[in-house]
Amino acid sequence: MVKSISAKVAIAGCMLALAACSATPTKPSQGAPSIVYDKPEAAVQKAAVDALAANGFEIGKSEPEYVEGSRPHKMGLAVGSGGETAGVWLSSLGGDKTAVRVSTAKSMLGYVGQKNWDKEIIAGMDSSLGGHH
Amino acid sequence: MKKLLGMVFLAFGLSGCMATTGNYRPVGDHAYPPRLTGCDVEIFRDHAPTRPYTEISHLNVHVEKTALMASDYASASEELKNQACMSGADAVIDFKEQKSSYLETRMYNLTATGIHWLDGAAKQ
Repeated sequence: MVKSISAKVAIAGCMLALAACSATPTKPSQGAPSIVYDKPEAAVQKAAVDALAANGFEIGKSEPEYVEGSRPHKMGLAVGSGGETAGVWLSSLGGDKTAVRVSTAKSMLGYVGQKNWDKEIIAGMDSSLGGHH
Repeated sequence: MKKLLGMVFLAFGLSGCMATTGNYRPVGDHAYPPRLTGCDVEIFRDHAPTRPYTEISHLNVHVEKTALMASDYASASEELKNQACMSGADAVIDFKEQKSSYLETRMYNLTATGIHWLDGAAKQ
């Protein structure tokens, strides 16, 4: 009986630890402000991949209308860094215009050393695409 | 024995204080086969090559270390060559370096372009 409870507690602990290691970005609502590039969706998607990589994200999903990447955890002297997951949602507005929404999610593990990367990702895309509206 | 354990602990700690991520993205429609790991890649940091070439890949290497350790080109060059080989590139041009920091972490990002010779150079 005690062994059974211990096993269940251990499994629950492992699941909690695994959940703390990753985070899933939440898609901003349709009413939330987005930025618009005067570029076709395919070009903006490539710029999103490059911008994530340039900020240390490992690309996990690279779809025509969604790019996702995660920064690996890194130990440090005090707080370390990494553990964030960022998502970039794209939607074509027609006429070579593409709307973009960016969201960064922080994981529980190493939360103090993590940051919101939305501005850096958009800046990276701006440098590739030449600015947004 | 204590000294040895201390050095092992320090080595493990410092190795955990560094993260290097690299990737490449093909440029254009033509797919080039990957080259062997450790292949010979020519580096053109200061000048453009005189031989004819075509751009085939966008390369990126990102290095993060704690505040005590500096990140520079030397810490990213091996991974850059690995990515160039994987993308099928013969040489690398158009280097762009960017340094930044956040809290105790120093970040160094290196982007470059992988190229393929058009004059039929022999490959390893």
